[in-house]
Amino acid sequence: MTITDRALAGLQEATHADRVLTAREDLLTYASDATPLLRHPPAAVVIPRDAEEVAAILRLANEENFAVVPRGAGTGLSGGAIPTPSSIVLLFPSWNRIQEIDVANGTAWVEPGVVTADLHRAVEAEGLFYPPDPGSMRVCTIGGNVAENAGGLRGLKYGVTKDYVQGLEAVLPTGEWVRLGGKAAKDVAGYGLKDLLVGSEGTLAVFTRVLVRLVPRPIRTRTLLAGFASLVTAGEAVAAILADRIVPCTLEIMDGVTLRAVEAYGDMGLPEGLEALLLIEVDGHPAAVEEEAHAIGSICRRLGALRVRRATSEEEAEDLRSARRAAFTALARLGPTAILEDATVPRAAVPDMLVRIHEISARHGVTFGVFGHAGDGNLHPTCLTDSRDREAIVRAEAAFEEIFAAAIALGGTITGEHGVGLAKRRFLAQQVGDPAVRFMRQIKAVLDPNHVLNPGKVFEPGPRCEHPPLGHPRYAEAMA
Amino acid sequence: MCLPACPTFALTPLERANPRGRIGLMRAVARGELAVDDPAFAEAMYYCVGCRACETACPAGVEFGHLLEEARTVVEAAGGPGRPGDFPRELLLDTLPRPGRIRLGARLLRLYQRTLGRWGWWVRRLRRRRPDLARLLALAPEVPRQGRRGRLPAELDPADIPGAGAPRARGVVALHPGCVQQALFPEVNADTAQVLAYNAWRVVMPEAFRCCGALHAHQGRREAAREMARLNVAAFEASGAERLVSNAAGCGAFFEEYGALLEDDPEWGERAAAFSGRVVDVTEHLIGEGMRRPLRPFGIRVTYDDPCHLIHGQRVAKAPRLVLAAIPGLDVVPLAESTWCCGSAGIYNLTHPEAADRLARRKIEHIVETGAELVVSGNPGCMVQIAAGLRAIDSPIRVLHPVSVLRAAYQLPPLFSR
Repeated sequence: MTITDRALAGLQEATHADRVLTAREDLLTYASDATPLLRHPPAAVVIPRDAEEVAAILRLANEENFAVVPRGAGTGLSGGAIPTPSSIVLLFPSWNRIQEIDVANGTAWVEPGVVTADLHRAVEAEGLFYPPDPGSMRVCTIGGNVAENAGGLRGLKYGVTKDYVQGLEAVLPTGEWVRLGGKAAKDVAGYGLKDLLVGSEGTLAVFTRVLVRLVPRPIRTRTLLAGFASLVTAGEAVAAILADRIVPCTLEIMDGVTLRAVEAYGDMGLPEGLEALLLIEVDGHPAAVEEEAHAIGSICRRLGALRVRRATSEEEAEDLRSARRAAFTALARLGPTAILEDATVPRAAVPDMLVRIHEISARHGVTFGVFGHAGDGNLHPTCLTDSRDREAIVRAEAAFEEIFAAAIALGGTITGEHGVGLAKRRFLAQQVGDPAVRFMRQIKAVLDPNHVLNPGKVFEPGPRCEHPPLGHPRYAEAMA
Repeated sequence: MCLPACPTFALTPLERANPRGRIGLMRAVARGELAVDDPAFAEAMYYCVGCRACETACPAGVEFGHLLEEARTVVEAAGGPGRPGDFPRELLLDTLPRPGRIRLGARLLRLYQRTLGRWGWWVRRLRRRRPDLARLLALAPEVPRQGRRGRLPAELDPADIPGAGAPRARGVVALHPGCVQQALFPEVNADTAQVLAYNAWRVVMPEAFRCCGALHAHQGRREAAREMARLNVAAFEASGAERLVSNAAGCGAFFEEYGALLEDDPEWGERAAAFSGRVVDVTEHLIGEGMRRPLRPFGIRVTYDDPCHLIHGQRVAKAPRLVLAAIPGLDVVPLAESTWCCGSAGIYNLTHPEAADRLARRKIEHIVETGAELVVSGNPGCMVQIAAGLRAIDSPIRVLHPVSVLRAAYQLPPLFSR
């Protein structure tokens, strides 16, 4: 599907002909994000220069009836940046300046296209720290992180992106520009609109500037890798560490399938007989860190760890961390298609969930590797399959359906950090219930009456509106 | 992660200019959503420098170099627009497999450099009338006297090296002279032979060696590359040497792929695989087999630039640095973005001059930043590109191959002068 010539001309006028791309090779390459199996080319790719242009584009979208899909680096895993029918992609990577780092106030104004790892480097040079560290941090951008409320390995101790967004400047779907929050560390004036927008998956606003909150850089970090003969014992170790009132910065788990894939890829020198690996990091004051690291080592050994390795240098720590960071890509080498999800459960239910995933995968005859943030219950069951084999995909999807159901039954969620996007839309009502979905639709209808901004993401259109194409004015009627 | 490692993505921040997007386009062609002779597809495939930094960065082991070559092969077979122009691509692809023609070309170039090339008005006029030809000529370093067979002896024995102590040869290695290297940097081959002989290796340099075929394969002419592979495999077998030592990163990397290149060939498949198993970069060989410590201290500051086909292609990064570290008194400083392509990329600096220039400037800036007097790199293409970039800013910084630095550190008189 395309947009009208008048809309195209309008876009070129609102920005510049050079920044409105309609060549086939551009439409094809912006048709997908990192979500496997889903793809749809946009009608155009537009590179706005500033907030005024973004506002003009959104107003035009309302007038000319096309949809707008904002995009950072396209590393999302739920389809948030996949173009919808009759849509344009709004590209932000060129907005990559860190405008200001305010050391005294512990904040930084950043443009949405700043790469997360670049932000880490810049603030760490000032003795500060931006904790959220998604797996794709060397590629992903802050704008996308805010839209998805991205997590990361350091989430257990430090929290997620939402905890570090102190201010936002955004353009609403109807073209109004708003500034929310600011440098005051506490602010309860009016409704918490900023918190509504963080994690809205590009459906309620387009971010043009983000004020991130920074904390002091931890003085010392200690990294340990502990190997266990069974996933259950590893789960017990996780519980024991937390029960000992230690809050590690990172507490990650990898199952046998995953750790063998990592070993094959990186030659870590892991001993035989391991069925689970824990990556644990503590950071903070040197004395506390040493004590905690020591305690963690003892706990793991007491619970039967086959091997506990403590990094003695930053280089070694990087090596150990990379064992976990390479988990997904190491698994991805095992088959043509790797489908990664992030079903999350209350952390006490992690051992139970691991057992259920194992049982479900065996029953459906699909291979799963499981790794994730054991400390906060955010697991990443990863299915290794082949997108060209229709039958295998059907089985994989059936397995995931059961996994999501299991997570919900255990009091958890279908998505801890990747977002609902397109990939998990059909499970949303099952988890949050119809009243909550109705509430979401009402908010959407108020902010975006013509459904121009990333329509069809997070929740499906209501049951009465099967026929009007997304972005069509009738869509709004049907949603009312 | 490939995106931050990709030089063309840094130049053109669009998906079609990074590995992820290029693979996306290849998939689109495979699905029939994009025609294989679509000029956009060809352009995207040829905008890539082929440095394979993405392979080094890819934790999933995607063999992008392979995919790119296959894509270019089908693009060439389809023969549509969007591919690099005929000049000077076809001229080079025709000339490089023929040593006689290379020598003739080099002689003409040398003559030009000593006559018309010195006249500013002529150079400016050429730049206006034939910018592509002007670029080719501007890139070329000063061409030395050619002489017969590039003035390399047929073989060099440890006993031929004065001061080597006449040791018994440890073994026999064959040295491949490269194609342009022999014409433009014959001293690199001479230095390589001397350094090897000094370290007790008998070096044979059979005349039957030909262009390795890398450029042909990288320009989508796989059949032509296969022909050259067969010639080189046969020449190596006939030489009686145990190993093939390469001093040109691009060639060395391609020799290692001969096995894959000819794997479907019933007669040559196994022979090519055996050949590929015996190829080694000269620095790898010296460090792996043990080399004599140079005694002469050099009090200069140098920096090392990683040729893409050595670090990403052959995965050799430590050996050349160890060679430099073995030279007493040498102040080796690290080069920022040393693994970043200089823009030579085979004939990329001729087919994509603007992009190559931007990459060159980035590289030259980093080189100047180091404060080094000398930049060391083990590939003729890189040496040409970096030298041209340094000339453009009137820099006194010199460019040398690691073996040339080593030969000087061994205090061996050069086999011949330029």
